[in-house]
Amino acid sequence: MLAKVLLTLSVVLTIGTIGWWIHDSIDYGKLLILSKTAREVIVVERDPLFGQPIKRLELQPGRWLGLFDAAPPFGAVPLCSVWIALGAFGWWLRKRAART
Amino acid sequence: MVRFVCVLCGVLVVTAWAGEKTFVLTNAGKYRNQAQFTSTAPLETIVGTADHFSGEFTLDVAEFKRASGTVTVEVRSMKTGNTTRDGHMHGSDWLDANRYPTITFQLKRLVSPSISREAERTVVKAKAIGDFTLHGATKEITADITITYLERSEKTRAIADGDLALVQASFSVPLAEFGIKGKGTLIGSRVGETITVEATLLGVSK
Repeated sequence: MLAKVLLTLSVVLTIGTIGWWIHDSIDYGKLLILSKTAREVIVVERDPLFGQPIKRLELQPGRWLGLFDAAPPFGAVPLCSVWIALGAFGWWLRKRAART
Repeated sequence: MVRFVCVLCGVLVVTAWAGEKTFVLTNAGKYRNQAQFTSTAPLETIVGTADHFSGEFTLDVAEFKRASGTVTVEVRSMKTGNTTRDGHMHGSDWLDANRYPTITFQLKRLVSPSISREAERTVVKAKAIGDFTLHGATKEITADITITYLERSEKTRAIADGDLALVQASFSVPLAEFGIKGKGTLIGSRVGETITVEATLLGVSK
């Protein structure tokens, strides 16, 4: 029973994490290699006083999941590795139960 | 005769320096001093900002032939939208903010200024030459700059009490020339070998 739960959990969490990364990448507007804690928004406005276009970069706070972060917040690949390891453990439990 | 020569010299010196004004970097009204830096590498483009500026510069606002000054920015105010990466950027493998807490540009001169005057504005496009100090190394660099100068008026008073000079500059920083080696093989793959910088700075005359 535990093996089945672990295998199911592994599949669900792996697909969920990849889905989460894809969702965040779409929301952010580009494939996120590393997680983001702010979104870069470039604003260019023609300033009426100076008569010049003024470029400003705003970092809007938020949280978007990246792919490879090996430190907190962990990216999708390290997280999926944990979920897959969990599944492998479940698979091993199932094999062992089948042998006995 | 000697008195005449002295007076003449004095007049010439005063005339020559009469157009010089000193501007202090100020965040005023909606105007915020900011630099944007971009690293373009095959695996990733990183865009960030720096905004803790200080310093002042002097301009000959009549002919824009003479210019000097120092602009300093705090390394720890540099942000890229990823707090972990910011920590690495400020760390000893990269900018080493503990040892080198600031980045400085010391303006030495303006080259080939092209001046256009329109209504109350004077717009100057020029090359600014100065010493750029980063990571403890100093190199002479050239920046493309646009200075928009406004004399004190009712309009400028809404921003700050003084003449205003908006400086927009862009230049490139080759990391290797400043002794920044980064970690492993990140430079060239995930971090560009050259960082492009665009800065918008507002100076208010003293």
